[in-house]
Amino acid sequence: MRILLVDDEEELVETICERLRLRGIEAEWATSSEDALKKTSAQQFDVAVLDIKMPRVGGLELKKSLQMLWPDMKFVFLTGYGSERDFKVIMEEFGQDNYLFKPVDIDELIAKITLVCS
Amino acid sequence: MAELNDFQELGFFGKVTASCSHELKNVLAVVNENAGLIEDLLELAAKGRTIDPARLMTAAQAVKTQILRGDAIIKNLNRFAHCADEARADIAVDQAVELTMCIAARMAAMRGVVLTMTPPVKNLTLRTSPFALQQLMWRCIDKATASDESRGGAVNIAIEPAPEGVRIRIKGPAGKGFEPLTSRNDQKLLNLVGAEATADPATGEMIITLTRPAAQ
Repeated sequence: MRILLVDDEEELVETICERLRLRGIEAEWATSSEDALKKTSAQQFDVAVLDIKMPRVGGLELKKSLQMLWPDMKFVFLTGYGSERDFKVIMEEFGQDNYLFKPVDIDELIAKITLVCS
Repeated sequence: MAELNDFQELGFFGKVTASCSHELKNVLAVVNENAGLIEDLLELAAKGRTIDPARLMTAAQAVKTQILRGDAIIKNLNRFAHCADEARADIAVDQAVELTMCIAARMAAMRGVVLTMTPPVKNLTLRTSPFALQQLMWRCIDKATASDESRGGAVNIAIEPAPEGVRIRIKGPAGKGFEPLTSRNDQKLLNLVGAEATADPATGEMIITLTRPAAQ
């Protein structure tokens, strides 16, 4: 299973990736939607973990672009927001199994990734 | 009308606190991952795997850095909250504008815009409404960073002494002009601050001139 993590907090995605790799999961990271699109044009990933709020192009928009490239790709969303509006958008568009609030518990993240892949 | 004003002021407070709390969430997320990584590495060491002490040190340093970042966010949020303490006060305009820039930096960054400041003349003091000045500057930054043309650019703010008091120049990306402050609420804000907004078509700058009250 190959995971792509996208968040504008470089230290965050880099460390999550390192922790996933320590658990034997293949993971790469990107700090912007543009960077993520470059990476995915060259390599295939099974799951993309996307931050919803990112500069310029956010996770929801990126998801649409990635899905056009890789229709089978699965998604998990990260959010720092507890906003009702954002929560509603995620629930309506992607259901309750596809998001996690920051800070993330690594075991919960792995469980979520496994769930969307199953 | 009073209710509408209260609602707008609350809305402004809400935007600032939402932005700062989001940034704090990111700080906590990075701290959480680095603490988790230290735990992971120590668990592996306990199982006999050789761990690079330098990696542990980097993770610990990252936690310290994030604590400093979080502290700065909270300090700014606290300074901002205290702007509402007094209806009018003698304030250093350069420091007040620097504060708005700090709290608005994330909003600008989300739009792909960087906020910069020309080193100001220090301690340009003036008596005004501290909270209304924050709101006015936020409004200016919001307008300057809102258009798609702003993406990938910088908004620069310069503060200088003026015969009337203090002048604030806001320059959008590539010198592009932006919508003037013309709404009724903008006018109310300008009145509360004791300022006038003009545009310089030659440079595309928005100019806010704060007038020193007659008694000063």
